Amino acid sequence: MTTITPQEITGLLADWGKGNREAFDKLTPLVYAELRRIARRQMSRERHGHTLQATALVNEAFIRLSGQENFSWQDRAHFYAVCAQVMRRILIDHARANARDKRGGGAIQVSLDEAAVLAGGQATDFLALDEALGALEAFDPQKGRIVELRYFAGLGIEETAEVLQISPTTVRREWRRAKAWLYRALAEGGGDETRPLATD
Amino acid sequence: MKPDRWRQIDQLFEAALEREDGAARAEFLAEACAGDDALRREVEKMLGFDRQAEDFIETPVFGVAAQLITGQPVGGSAPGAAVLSEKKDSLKRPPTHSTSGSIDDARFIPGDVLAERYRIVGLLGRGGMGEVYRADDLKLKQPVALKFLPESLSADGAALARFYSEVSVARQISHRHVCRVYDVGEYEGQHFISMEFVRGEELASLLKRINRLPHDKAVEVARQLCAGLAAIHDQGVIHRDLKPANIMLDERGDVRITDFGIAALTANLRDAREALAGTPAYMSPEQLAGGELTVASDIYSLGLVLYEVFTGKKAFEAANLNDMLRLRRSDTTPTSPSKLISDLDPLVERVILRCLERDAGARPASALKVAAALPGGDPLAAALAAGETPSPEMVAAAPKQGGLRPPIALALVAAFIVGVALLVVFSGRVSLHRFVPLKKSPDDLKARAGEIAKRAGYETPPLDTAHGFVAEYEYLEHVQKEDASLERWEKLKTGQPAAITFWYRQSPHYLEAYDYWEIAPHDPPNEVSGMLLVKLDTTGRLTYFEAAPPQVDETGETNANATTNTTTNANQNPNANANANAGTNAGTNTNAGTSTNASTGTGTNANTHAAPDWSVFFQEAGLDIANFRQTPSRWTPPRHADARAGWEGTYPGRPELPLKIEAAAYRGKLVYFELIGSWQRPTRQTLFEASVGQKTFIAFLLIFYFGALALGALLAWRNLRLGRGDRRGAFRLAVFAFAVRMIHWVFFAHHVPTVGEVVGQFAGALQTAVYWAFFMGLMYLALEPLLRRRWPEWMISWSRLLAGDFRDPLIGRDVLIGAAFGIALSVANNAQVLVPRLFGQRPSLVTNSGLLYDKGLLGLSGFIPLLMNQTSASIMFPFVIISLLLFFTMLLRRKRLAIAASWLLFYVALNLNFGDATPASLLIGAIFPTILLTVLTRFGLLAQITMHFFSHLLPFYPVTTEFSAWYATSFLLQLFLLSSILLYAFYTSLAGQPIFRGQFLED
Repeated sequence: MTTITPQEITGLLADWGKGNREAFDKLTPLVYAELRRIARRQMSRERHGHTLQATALVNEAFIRLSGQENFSWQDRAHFYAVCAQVMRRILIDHARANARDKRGGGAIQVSLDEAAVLAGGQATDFLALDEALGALEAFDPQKGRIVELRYFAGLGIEETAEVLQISPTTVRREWRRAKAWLYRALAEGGGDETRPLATD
Repeated sequence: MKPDRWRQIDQLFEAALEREDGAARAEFLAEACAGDDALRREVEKMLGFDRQAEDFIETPVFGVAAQLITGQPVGGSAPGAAVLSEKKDSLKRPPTHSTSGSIDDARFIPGDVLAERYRIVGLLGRGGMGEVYRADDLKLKQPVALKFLPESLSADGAALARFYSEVSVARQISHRHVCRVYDVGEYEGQHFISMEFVRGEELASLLKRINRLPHDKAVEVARQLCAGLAAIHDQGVIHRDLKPANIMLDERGDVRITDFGIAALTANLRDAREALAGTPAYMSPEQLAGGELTVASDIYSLGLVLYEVFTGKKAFEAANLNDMLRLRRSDTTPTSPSKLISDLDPLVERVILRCLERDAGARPASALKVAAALPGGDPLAAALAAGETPSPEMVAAAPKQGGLRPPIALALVAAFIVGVALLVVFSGRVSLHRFVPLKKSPDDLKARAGEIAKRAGYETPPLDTAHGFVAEYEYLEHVQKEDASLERWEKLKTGQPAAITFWYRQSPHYLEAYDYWEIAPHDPPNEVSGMLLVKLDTTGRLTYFEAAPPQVDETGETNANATTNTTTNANQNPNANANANAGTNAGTNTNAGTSTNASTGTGTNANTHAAPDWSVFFQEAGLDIANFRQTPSRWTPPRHADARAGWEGTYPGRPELPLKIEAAAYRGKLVYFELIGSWQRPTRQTLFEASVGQKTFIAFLLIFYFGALALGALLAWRNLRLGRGDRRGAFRLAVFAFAVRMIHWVFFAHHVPTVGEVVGQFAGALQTAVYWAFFMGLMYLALEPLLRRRWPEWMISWSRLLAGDFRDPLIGRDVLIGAAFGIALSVANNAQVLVPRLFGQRPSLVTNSGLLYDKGLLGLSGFIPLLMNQTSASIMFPFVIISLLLFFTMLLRRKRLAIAASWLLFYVALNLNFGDATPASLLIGAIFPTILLTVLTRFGLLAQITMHFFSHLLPFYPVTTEFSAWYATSFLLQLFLLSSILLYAFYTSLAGQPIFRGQFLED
């Protein structure tokens, strides 16, 4: 890894905030590596059935990367967004890899755990969710960002409100409708005619 | 949907949500969507989804992503599908052992040393629970696979305990088609299993790559799968998740089953939703229904795997998990394999479809049964070829079909009938009990003994009595040695001298044997005043009388008085002879210690009394006192007496047989009377002085007994430790031995209502029974695995019998053959006696077991104990033969040499006791070891045991032509029992073939 100063990180975050795509591409591996390092350490240290504290992890990653404790809200908001996107990317890639295998293998294979999960709750087709989220973003970018931050980065209502600079009430309302739209998209799926989030 | 339209809907949706009240909401919508019903329907739909989506994506997947980045290379491809759930922030993949795997994102990197023992070599993949690494065991210098457990397991104490117990069982499984589990370990709180590292490929990926396996390879894989699965089941472990992804093919293409039993652990983590802890596509119907899992569930999964191996198609296929569950929960059955592969071996199809029966009971009972049903399937041969000890189940499941063709079965039955007929017909010429007159029944003889007791002055009715028969072997040996005539045995027909004696005891106390629970002539000893022992020959003539005199003089006289009185008595004694005799006797008998007959002349203890009229007892003995010359009494009575007498003469009509008679009395009552033939030795005074040979023999016996026990215990322990011992068989045999002993006790013990009976005899019987059970169980555990390993083909029908498979034709065949040979042995025994007579040799007698006289002549009451003896001997003796054969095999290394050595040993041992050896009898003697060894080596253990059982007819039971004789009861009962066994064996061996028609139609 090439050495990169905290100043450069905040610079990249700021650039990305301005819409610079290259900045994001430079940020991703840094954020990814840092998240991985912290997550791995947390997992081995706090082992017994411990679920990772998303906010704490992201915060720590940000502090380490930016080298500052008093960062601007923009930097933090951008960083959360980057994290959420990194996480989303990881999950999508993984699901795609599996879907590829599925096609190659010809039939479904389900592990022990998944079967048990299935017996308890509903399963979600992750790729379909991602697709629906993409469509939702096209209609309503704010809803998309809310979902991304809440679902992928694990932010609470207040934090999401802070990052997006909107009121918690708005976040709550938008989040509720976003869920209903996504749920509908997954439930109806199928043909283009009925797809609620498909752009014609 | 156009963005504008979408926004319109979303806005109305938002506004509608703000109106909590249903009526207000409906009113609002009606107003807002006036004229646009489609819009209204869309908004109402959204309101519906809002309700459903309450929990939707509420749990962030951040944790899953974090796990992925810590362990999973992003975009890395690994087989398996993932399903994300809102409820579980974890993402699991099916177990995989793919040898390729990126170490890039693993928790450990190559070179890491765990627990100071395992050096990580690389990441193999991710199992159902966690990562799997390849590592080097630095201590044992071998590659291992380390499988990490989920953290939640490590946190749960109960699950962890269960995990340890599962691993401790799994560690016992050592089989070349099962991936070996070595140990468990912990590193920084992470638990892992170390197991055998298998270089190779998953069956799943192989099938993916090459579709179905070629037929021969498929059969081989199927057989190995069965063998491995059977080994797992042997340890009481159920795999629960058998599927192609859990089956490895190693570098040589051999099957290795992995992940057995571990499914149960993961299930534990999921609120005990155990039944669903498998892969739906490979689950049995009962597993899907959440029912109890058994061996049969694994057999079902095995059937699905075999389906795929042979057809290349999955039995159940669905696009996704929900569809799969729907499909599996419906009654859909897989397409029959032959529809997919037209040239599929029908045997394969049949066994697969049998495994896939929805009713668990209709599936093959074990994996070995599956293997046996495969084409050319013989797991036994495979196990032997691999140098393994096959399990008893494997032996029982051997594909050996044992049915007999009707002509052969009929011939064997005919052999039995002819053999028994020969035994019956010739019994009059060879059997002692047919020479000795057996006119009087035990009841008659008992009454007769009581009569003699009364005549001797013992008139008080006894509290307890006992009786029995005994053969006079000393006399028989005497005849054999001294009588050279051709009709020497004919002389036994007079019944005098007695060759079979009836004994009768009566006592004013309950008779309680000291040594054993059976009353014998001298157990308990005749020491209670008033106890009697009377012996008669079989026609009721007295041969022996013994009574215990009173402990204190009944007359009430003091000792001093007695002295004076005796003098008077002596003077009054009308029997001058006796008196004179007493006098003479005292003179000659200096050994006064045992004699009560001190000379009257000494005057110190002159207690000579009136003697009874001896001639009465001569009459009871069928003798005339006039034919006997009085001699000094030299044989002292066994109990106190005050008058003694002795006579000499010969047996009536047998001038060549000298007869001495000794008698004694106390206070005028007979206490002793005995007919003493010249063959009788004074055994009471023989000093026991063991010769060097005897001492050596006893020492050898002791060493042999304890050596055998110690060696047996050692072998049994070793066999158990190695998991070879047949615990079930040993247990059943031990229970059987226990039952035999206890039944023996119940039916033959002399039960009396005393404390000693309750606490002593019962406890004694229990001890003996427990000893026998222990002994049999131990020897079985020690010997049986050796035999099973070396000659499992001998054990097939026996194993099936122990497994309770009574309808098996092979059992029928072996029993039928054993029966025919058992009778043949007896016929040969008779022939050995009869044939030399054809050459003018002096005839000998068949040496029957003493039990024949002791119990065989007692009718029904003796039958059950006799049967019990017969049963235990029939089981014990084959194992003696087998242990010798094993011993010789280990010594001589060659089976043939061992058989030859055993033959020689048995020949010598079986013909050693044969007094009158002639060339003909020695020649016929060769039949015995030949039959013994042939039946064992050709037909196995069960035939051998049956043969011994049937061969007991002759020595144990009074074979006779007089079916209505009082003594014929036990013979007829035995004959009935043997015939029933024979009939059962006959029908079983035919396995449903018609008896008469089939033979003509067969090719």
